[in-house]
Amino acid sequence: MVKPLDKSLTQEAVLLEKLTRIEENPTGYFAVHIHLSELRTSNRQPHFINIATKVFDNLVAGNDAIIYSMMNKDLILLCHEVLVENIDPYIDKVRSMFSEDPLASNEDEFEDRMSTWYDLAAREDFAAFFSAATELSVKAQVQVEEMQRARSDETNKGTGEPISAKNLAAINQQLQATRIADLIRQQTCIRIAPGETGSIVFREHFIAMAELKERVAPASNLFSSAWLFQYLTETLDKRVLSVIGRKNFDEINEPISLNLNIGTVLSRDFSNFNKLVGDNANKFVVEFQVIDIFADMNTYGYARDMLQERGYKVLVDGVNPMSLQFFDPANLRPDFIKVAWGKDFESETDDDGRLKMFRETVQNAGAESMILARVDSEKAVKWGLALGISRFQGYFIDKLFHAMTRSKVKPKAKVKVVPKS
Amino acid sequence: MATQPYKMPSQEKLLIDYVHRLEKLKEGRGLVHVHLSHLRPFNRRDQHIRTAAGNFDGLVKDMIGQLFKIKNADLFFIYKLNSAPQIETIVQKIRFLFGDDPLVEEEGKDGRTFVTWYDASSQYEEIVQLVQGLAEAEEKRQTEVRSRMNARQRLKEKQKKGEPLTPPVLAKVEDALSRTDLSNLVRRQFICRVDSKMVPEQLFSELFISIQDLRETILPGVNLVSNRWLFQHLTETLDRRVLSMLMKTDTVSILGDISFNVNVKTLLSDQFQIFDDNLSAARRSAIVIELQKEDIFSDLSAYLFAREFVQTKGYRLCLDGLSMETLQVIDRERLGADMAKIVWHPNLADAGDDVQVLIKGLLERDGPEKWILCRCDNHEAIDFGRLVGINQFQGRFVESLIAEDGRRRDLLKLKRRIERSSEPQFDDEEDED
Repeated sequence: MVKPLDKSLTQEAVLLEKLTRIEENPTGYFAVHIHLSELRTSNRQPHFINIATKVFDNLVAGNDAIIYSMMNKDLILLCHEVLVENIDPYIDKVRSMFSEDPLASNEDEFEDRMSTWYDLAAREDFAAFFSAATELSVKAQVQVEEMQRARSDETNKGTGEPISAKNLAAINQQLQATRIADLIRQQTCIRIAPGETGSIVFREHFIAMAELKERVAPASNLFSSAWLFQYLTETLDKRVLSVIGRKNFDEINEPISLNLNIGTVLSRDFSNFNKLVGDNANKFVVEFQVIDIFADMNTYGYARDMLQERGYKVLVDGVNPMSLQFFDPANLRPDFIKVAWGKDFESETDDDGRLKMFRETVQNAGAESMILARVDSEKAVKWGLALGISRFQGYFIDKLFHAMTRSKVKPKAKVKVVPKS
Repeated sequence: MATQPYKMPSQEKLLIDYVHRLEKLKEGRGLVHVHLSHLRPFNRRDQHIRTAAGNFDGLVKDMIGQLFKIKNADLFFIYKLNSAPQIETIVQKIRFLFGDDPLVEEEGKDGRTFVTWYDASSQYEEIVQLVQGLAEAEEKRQTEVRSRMNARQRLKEKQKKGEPLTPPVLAKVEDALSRTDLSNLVRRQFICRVDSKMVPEQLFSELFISIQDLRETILPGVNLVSNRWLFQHLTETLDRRVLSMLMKTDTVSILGDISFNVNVKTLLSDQFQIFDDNLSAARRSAIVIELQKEDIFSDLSAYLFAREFVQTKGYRLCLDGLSMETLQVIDRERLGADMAKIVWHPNLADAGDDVQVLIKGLLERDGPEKWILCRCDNHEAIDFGRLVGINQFQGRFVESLIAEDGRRRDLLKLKRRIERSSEPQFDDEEDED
């Protein structure tokens, strides 16, 4: 019988209904709750979950089994008279897909963290699963309501239409014509040493992208394609250079850091900028993105040497805890390496891969080259200091810096080195 | 680019000139090469190099020798051999300066050398080769990159390769792509094991769209690769078209083991799911998926996920586009790719021992089945590969080897036939083909 489809009829609700039907005769039924909602955010992306869900296609096709996709990304597998051994390979496949995620590690655990099994024929298990399913359903209802509310705002805010070759030219044109000077924001990178006054390493000048988007392409999602976004930044670079180029460089006391494409540094615009800068090149730090560097490493090497020769400092940006596992930015031989602080670091134990790699990078590049960015807590600063890092940037640093500059009496960094146990 | 009014001769140039002049005076002279370029980056800052070089100041003043500080931070000091003890003391001093660097700490291990000594009279040829190699490498690098930023060169490029790709043109290309039959633009190039007699053995073939031909077909006069980012975006569109083309079972099934280039994003798309659904498990293991490094690093978590996904399905992953520079930073093993491709470039052969040692080390660690040298245009590429332990090759030269091998086989067949036909025959059932 076909039931009229209710928009709010979630998979959670369908599952609950199925459970009430099973309750009468639960013999042979069991359920596996796969907790994908507990994956790291970076692994919880919709297309990852879709592919993980598809793993069960064969199982569902050949057996009396149903897979339910929960709103929170969890999966529920409901089976009737299927051998446990036949289920295991599918779960393991999903596990291997997320092998980089702590959730998938099966070691030293009394119970598997990724899946919970319920024998629905056992009264106790049935009750436990029913309450778990109820909870999921309640959460889903809340989420649906939120989504409906959000959807009404989305048309004018939200993510917007993806950029494509078709609207790119218009956006690029807008970028060339829009006033951007007032969208340039600053964030200070400071050096903190125990018992010493914090000092400024540089002030990063960057464009407030969200505001820029509102100004040039309110209906588009500028970030939907990494490549097309990168293309737009080439135009932005030129605008930024012309704004910064109007400064009186002799009067700059603290170094300025700018995010530029490698191609920009080799262009006529930069050549002109360089003429304006003159002998003040040592007051500038140029930040390159890893993705730009890898696209043409030969040119990166050339640009780096050229900048350094003229007195500029070169910074490698776009490094995060995860990427450190896969390459050592010290080999790129920049003056600075900026690593984004992430929750991932916090949870690492000492012999974990990421932390080990991070220590290696600090050792290879020298602690003096390292900058911990996106620092949002005192904890992050302590964590960095314990590794020998003394240069920091981020919201927390902004606050700290603000406090430092306001207290007229000997400003002191409020952070002390606490050896990490 | 602004041209400089005058250009100081580089230290490399001066060093070469000096070495040339040294030929007549080589008796009783020595050269010491201090490998500061091998120091860790943080020990290789300007002030470090200046301090190290400063140690020679006294000797230079006393006319005992001449110092050259080249681009990569290495020092060369050419001196009179009767002052050798003084030079040794100075080198020792510099060594102390970098006492905490692995280069000094673990000197002698894994071929780490801090200094190399040469006797000009007996090793003159060696010296000449050394300094020439350095100067050439530097010059090549400079002209290569400079040519890209030079307006004249850009104009020349435009005249030769067409108008640069701009967003409106990109939109047109994408539009045209959806209507073009790509199957006759597909090119195929074999990855071969090449033995010492230059006989190729075909392992698998890479399928790719000829960008040149694509351009001619849909938009003559446009240089599709002129903007790196727009081109990368275009490849995502191409990916989808290639996948749907490969899905025509007749193409896939007759081609043997194949490889093709895609974006990580494509692997996670519905199109790839559909493609995958249409393949048998056996077919999957006959497919190598090639990924570009910049694509991998643009979203590592997507890559890691895609990697697990395709590898558990049975596909093999190949890391494409490694160069001399990227090899030193990106590790195939850490990325978990099944194999990797190094793009042949003469600078690999010119770069000297370091690069060879590096590649040899990788080949020893991984075994030759994991590495491919691609874009081999000439014999030199194969020779270099052989030298470092590579035996899998791809490129125009390999294609010519295949053709040659084919001709040889044909000739052999013909020869056998002639031999057979000269024997007394009762019927011609044996005739093959």
